[in-house]
Amino acid sequence: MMFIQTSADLSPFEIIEKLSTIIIAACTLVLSFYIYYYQLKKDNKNLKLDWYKVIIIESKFEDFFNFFEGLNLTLIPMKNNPNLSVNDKERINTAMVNSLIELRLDFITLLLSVDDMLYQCVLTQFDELVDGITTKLSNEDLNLNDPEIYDEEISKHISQYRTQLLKIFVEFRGDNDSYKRLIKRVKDYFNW
Amino acid sequence: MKESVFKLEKYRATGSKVFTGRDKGKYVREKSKFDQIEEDSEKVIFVIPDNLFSINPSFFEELLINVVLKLGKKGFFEKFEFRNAGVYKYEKPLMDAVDRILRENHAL
Repeated sequence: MMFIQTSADLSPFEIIEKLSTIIIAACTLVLSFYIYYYQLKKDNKNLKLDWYKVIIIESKFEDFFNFFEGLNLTLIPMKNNPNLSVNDKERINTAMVNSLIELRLDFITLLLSVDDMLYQCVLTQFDELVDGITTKLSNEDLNLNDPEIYDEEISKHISQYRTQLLKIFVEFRGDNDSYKRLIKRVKDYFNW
Repeated sequence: MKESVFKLEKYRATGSKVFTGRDKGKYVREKSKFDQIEEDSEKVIFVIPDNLFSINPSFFEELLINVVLKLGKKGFFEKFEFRNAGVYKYEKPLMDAVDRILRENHAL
């Protein structure tokens, strides 16, 4: 009992000192938990990025470039060819849509193993690329065999989406916050 | 058995020969009350229009998302019968859309 000091024995300064010690200890504990949680999150993100690099970038990214090369080869017959019929354009469109289906199965779906939002963002961009070309192909008033019109309507469209898609892959950092910023930038870029 | 007929032709934009894009798919789903048609019917006849240039997977995906998630692939194709009023080969984009829906929602 002689070791226990009652408040009646403590001066105001000693009370403040003891309260401060308790508060500092509590803050230290909270900070420790925060650092632990933050480090865990960072380690998970790094692991996710490592897997992204292995699964997507190092193993399968060639599919991305092959798709665009194939797309240009599929569409280029329209340029400088005024004799293309509607049926020819339908065949070209079907070939293009089928290429996207194959790309989704071989490449885009892999992104689901890394990040759902990355997958959605990339798939949406590819859909808009292909849907845009489908709409232009079906427009009988659009003279796509004119090289200037073809370059403006098709080549430029493909180039914009390819660049934007590359940006998505380059800027992926493994977390959704940077993603939301990226999606906003994509929307600003296309004026949506 | 209550059977409904869904005619996609009704939702064609004037002069258009394509059905593309998630926005359009969502618009048709909501405008037609597509999910309700499925809910109220034991069988749905889905008529693919004539004079079509393209129906892209993005359109099908958004139009069918709720019914496919509800019924699963087998149930969906048992309940929905597709009839083609024209010659457009809709099967591949349709199958791709169903696959997308189920894979994205980890049902596959």
